[in-house]
Amino acid sequence: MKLIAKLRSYFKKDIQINQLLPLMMLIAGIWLFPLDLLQRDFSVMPGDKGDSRFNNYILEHGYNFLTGKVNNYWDAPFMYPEKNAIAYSDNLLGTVPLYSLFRVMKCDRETSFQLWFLSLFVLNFICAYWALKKWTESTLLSSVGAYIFTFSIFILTHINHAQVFPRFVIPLIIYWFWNWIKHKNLKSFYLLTAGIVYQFYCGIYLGFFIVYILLFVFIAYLIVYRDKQIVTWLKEGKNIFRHLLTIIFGLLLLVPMFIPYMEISSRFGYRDFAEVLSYIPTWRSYFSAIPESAIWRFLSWHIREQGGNWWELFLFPGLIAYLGILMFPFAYKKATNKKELVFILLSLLLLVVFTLNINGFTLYKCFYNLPGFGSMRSINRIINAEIILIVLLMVAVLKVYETSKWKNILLLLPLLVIIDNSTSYWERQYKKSEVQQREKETKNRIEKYITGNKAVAYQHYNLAGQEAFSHLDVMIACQDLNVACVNAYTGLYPNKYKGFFNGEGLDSLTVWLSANNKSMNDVVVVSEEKANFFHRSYVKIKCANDKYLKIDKDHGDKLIASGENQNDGELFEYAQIDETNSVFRATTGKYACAEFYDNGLMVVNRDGIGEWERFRLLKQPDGSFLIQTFTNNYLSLEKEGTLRSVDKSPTNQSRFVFETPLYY
Amino acid sequence: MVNLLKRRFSLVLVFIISLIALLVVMNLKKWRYDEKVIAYDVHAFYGYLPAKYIFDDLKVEKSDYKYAEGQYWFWLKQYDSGKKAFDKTYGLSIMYAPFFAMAHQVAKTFDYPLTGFSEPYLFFLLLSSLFYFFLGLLYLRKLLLHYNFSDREISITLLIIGLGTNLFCYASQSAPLPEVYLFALSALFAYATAKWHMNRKLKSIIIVSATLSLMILIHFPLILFAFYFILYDVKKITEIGAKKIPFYSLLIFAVIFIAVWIPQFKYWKLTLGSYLGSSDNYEHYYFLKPMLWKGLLGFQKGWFIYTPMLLFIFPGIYFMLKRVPELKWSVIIVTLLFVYITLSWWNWWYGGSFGQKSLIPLYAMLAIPVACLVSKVLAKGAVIKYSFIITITSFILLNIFQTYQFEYGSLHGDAMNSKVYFKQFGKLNKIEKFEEQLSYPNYDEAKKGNR
Repeated sequence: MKLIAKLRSYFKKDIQINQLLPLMMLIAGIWLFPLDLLQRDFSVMPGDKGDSRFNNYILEHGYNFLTGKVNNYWDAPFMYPEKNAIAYSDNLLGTVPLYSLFRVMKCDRETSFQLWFLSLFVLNFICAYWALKKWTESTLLSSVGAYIFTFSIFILTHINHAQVFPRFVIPLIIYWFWNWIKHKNLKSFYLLTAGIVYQFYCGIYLGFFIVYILLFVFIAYLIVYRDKQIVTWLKEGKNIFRHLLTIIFGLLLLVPMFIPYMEISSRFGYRDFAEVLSYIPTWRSYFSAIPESAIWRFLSWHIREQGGNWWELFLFPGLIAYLGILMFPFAYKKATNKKELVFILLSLLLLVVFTLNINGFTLYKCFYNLPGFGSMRSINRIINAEIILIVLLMVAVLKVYETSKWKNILLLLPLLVIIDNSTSYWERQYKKSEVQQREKETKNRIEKYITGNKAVAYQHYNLAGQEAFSHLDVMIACQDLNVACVNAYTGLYPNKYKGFFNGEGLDSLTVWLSANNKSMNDVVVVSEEKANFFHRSYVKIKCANDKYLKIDKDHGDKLIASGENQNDGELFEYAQIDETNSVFRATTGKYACAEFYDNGLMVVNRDGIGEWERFRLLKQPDGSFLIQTFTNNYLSLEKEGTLRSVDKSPTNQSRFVFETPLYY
Repeated sequence: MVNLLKRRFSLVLVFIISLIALLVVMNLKKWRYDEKVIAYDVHAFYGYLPAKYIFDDLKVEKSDYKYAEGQYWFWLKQYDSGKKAFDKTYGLSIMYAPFFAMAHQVAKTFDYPLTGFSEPYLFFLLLSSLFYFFLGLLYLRKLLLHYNFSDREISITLLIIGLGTNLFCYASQSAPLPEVYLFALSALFAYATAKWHMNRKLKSIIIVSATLSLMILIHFPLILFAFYFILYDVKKITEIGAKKIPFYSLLIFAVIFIAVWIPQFKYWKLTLGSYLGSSDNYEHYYFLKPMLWKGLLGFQKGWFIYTPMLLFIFPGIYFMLKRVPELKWSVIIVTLLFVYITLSWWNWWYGGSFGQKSLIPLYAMLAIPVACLVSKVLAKGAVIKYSFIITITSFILLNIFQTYQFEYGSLHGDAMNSKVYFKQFGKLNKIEKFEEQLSYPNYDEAKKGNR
């Protein structure tokens, strides 16, 4: 009876409209961003067919590990026989359980990835809202802040990199840090440490970034608050001991994860700083919006002027997010918590200044040599963590106006922030059914060849320009079949592997296997129709007149040496199909042929490989080649620039230079 | 009888206005033509009923369902996934359903083809529009009575909204497009909202939830009407967050709201494989380019150009602030937001139609400021009063005349301009070289935001 009475009173309880605001904003955000991106019917996958699917592969590998199908998490069965293959990229361990939950619920791999993606948006919003509400006690501003943290337009820039989606701990970490340092709360320090450790397990980049950010927050705190009590407090009782023990415990928890990475890092060394520099945000990047933005598209193009990896630098989070900075001078005058405002602003400024690329100069170089930091390339991803400071400043500044005459305008914020971050179309997506079909076809093809424990080395008919998702098709098919494969797509590659990655030839496979003390007996080679070859690379061909070969499409697809420079020349896929013979395939998909009925005139218009399409290459001491056709004649350049195989012996017009071979 | 007429003339007027719409329907006899009633979007709104109840084929896969070469009964959209479904929701089908059932019985009795597309079905669809027009006016009257407007004030307001706006066209000439149904739902919604705030009864919240959910189901941007309820009786806009709703009301609201959508979820799951349907990448809002000027005052489809009667809402809102203060934020904010969002749509002129049809769902709530103006005017001297009556009479006549112009094609659905408008003014038949002088919109460019 008591329970019924309690329930009755609960049902009669009044709910305030503002209590519903966070829920309404979460629903709006989910509907307008991740659900719309997935086209609501889940027919579309977020990101691209390369990185995004690779993350899906890693999560599936984690699920296989949890369910006992895989013995060692780090030795994923790709890039056979490489150990620690997972450590070539982010491991996503932290959210593997979340993904596995959907797999346990019988969702397929891709759908589980979509649901994982969706759930992370929900978690990001809830945690950001919770932390902001705790900090500011404003439902309205916390909801708006959480919306920006979760659904801001810059997130699309990183949509291919699923490792930056799990960032729900970041707002909590910042809140716990504040609670620890300002209120000398030891429990918050425990939580803070646990949060950082967990963030590392969710994604290494963001793990490093949050530590990096906390450093500036700490410096800003010391500058603004000049808090000497912290030292006194640390000295009190066993506080220092507790702190040290917590840090050591946290580091110990990270050890199992870092050992494989350190092993890889010791082999590869640091990233080239010039490469890192091109990913460090410039001032322009903070004002450069993704082209998909419904409002800010006009801010999309100026970033191109700076060159480099400009497409990675769309970091503009919408105008509302910047209100904190824009209105700071006005709010400061009115604020009662001036120190807090200055502290957040200074934290943000320090972070931005130290992570800014000013015409090639950056203070980030000070951190580049620190352990871990030197292995990171995509510094642009810092925005995913940095946004919490931007949001915090916005919330703190606007909070000043909550009791002023401007408070009515603040009520428009929920609507404005939705419009501010709305998109008018989606580009960074691919069809689920299309990749599932590809994976299925690859799996069916491989299935017939599996023998014992032999790993699969797969040769694609078409590879140029689609290496990433071609290798991923094989990796996923082999994951389903529970066999290892040589094919791999990941973040880094050992030098000896690159040949196979780019060409899939048997020669490069042998090089890779022997470097790892394996032989061809340990693998089974599966080739797509017409793709069986010893060697494959991609070349531009320079003739004796120093001009590059092109296809004359207006005159029967004749080959003609008229390209003024390498860019002007046709790219040929050059494949050695047996001991002596090679073929050339143009980007049109047609094979080069020495036309028998036209005195061996070279044309590029054949669909398949017959006798006339086979050539013998004779390498000369200077690195150039002589090319013999099926008639045993040599291919020579004619006055008109065409090629014909009429010479019984080589002339000075019979030499060809192959340029930009990816592997030879 | 005379007394009844005096006290309840507005009620009689509801019948009279509906009868006038009926006269137009009977005069145009559209049910006799295959493609004049179930045309354009109505195909997708109505298709659910014959597909489910006549052909037992909601996926529309058992046959081609052609009635002539190249002419199909069911218009399905093919989504990116390759799957097909009606691209409109089933909301309007619920409202058509009783009339569809009656039509089916009539078709059976009189041996008409039981296809869902023969004459009885078309006739009853037209009747359904008239019925909801009548119902909408009836609840509009109740709404105005709730705010203590006099019978005279209500009568004039009903004439203004019922005969003087493009709502009339959608109840008669352009039936059974969704606008008149949305008008009825919004009137019921506004009335139930007012009642709930007065008595907090369960029945009222059920109606609020059901009508709002159904409106959103038919036309998603009507989700903004939730603000009408939220902002109702909010004295200061800053107090909106503090407004309290009993938990049980909220719970019932949520349950009813979702329940209305369940059949739609099931339909999407059946046809598209997802409970949430599917979206595509081709149609967008352009929030930085709302076509406010063109949408309100342009000759292509300006709201105040083709429904000048609604200019009365401006002084009306001013008078409403004092007369019905509990509505000030509801009406102002919902109207502003709805107009802004509606006119931000890539196709801000909403295809071939008479006036800004997409704004018709606002009419029930805008009737209140109009009634406030009427009330003020009636309290003034004879000159103002009669000038006002002459003005509204002129606008009513213009509206009915333009409805016929639209029917005759002398008022083009999407390509009008000021030159043609003035040359064609007052002429039912097309002027010479009418088509050549039109300004046709570029739909492809509009989709890219160039409007």
